[in-house]
Amino acid sequence: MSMPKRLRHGGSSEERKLLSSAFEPSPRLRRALWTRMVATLASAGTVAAATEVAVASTTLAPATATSIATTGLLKVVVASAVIGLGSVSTAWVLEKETARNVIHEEKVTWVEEAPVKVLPAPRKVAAEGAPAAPSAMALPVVSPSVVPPVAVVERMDPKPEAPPSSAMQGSISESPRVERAEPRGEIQRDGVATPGDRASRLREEASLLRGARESLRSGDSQAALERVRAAKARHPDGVLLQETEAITIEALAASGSVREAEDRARQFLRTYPKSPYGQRMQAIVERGN
Amino acid sequence: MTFRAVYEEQFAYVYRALRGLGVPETDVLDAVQEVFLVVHRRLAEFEGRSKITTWLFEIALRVAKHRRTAFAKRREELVSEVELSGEPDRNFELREQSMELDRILAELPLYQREVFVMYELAELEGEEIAELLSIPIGTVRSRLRLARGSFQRALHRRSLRERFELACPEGTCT
Repeated sequence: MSMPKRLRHGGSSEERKLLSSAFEPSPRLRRALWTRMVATLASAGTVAAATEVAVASTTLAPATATSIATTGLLKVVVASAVIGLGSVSTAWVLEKETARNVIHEEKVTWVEEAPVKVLPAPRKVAAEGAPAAPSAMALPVVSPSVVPPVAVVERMDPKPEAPPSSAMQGSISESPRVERAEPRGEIQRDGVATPGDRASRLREEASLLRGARESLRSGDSQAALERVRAAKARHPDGVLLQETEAITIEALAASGSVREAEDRARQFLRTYPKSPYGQRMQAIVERGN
Repeated sequence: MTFRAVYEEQFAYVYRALRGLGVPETDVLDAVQEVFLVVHRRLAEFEGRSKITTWLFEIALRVAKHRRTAFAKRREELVSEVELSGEPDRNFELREQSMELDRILAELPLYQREVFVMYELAELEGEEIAELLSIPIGTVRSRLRLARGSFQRALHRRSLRERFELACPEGTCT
């Protein structure tokens, strides 16, 4: 007796639809997790992994001035991994570096293939694998011990297309690096938002909201309100408007503006009937009654 | 096959498998990473002894099992931590469907859910499922039959509920 035909091919239209499209991750997640995983491999006691990249880049890449600079950068990467800054930015740097060096040698275990195609920033890599000269190459080769790693991280921030989701940040980036690595006045160029710009904006928006959430948690609802207002003013058409409103309502409730919180919670429930914050909003409505 | 290639090709597969096995969206990236860290460690030993998807699913099963236990303990805590998680710009309909499938699968007993997800979502063959779960193929079939029954009943309940909600918006009938 053979197995039946699978529902996603032979089931009802509802079954097919549900089983075919649910749980489908976006390519953005795939890219973001890759960068994070590289960072994990490099920082979770496996400095060897990062060293491996360094070795690869020095032995396999053309012996040019750029490869020396690359090695310098990698030293900083290793250092930042060791001192606990081995977070997303480290991954970006690693990925950037591995891409730049176009390592195809099979000996290298987890960076065999240059992830050029998944990297958002425009990058020119010479056909022979000779590294292009990115701006970060201007960094002098310095010992990590004399360079404040934060500054290094900022300067090397490669502005990837996909910002890590906060779920990821929550688990791997406890340092306040995200705030420090906020966009530096290049939100838009020529009036056109590039993917990098969008990522920067989203990072900033998320960062502002995290700040608001933290204020709320620490009991400072006024500060939370100020922060969400700032977030809304800065990102009036932000991606996280639903979150902004949810935090605002909670902050209002916490600050004693019960009536306003309740009204807005009702409105919230109408606007976002299936929101994950629905229960909390409902609780605020009920509390006001 | 290189680690990077496995990752690129199988990321979505592993993601779907884990979601299907009950790892919540807030937790799934960690779980996917866990699976691929195992892959990274053991890729050299794998040597194509089975289909790569079977191997990946085997790892995913273990990771999901471990996480189910761990997650149950900190679900409450997570719920308040995840306000900003997930993918804010993700296609709304897809998200809705994922939530729906999550709810429906959650109604299935685990032994049915596993077989259902392995067959219907991960598209493993009956024999592979039997091997992974160490059960006879006949049991795979009977579990699948039961799981499909539960799944279809849950879908039916959902459509009844939707009709009720359309007829009684915002609890006007209560």
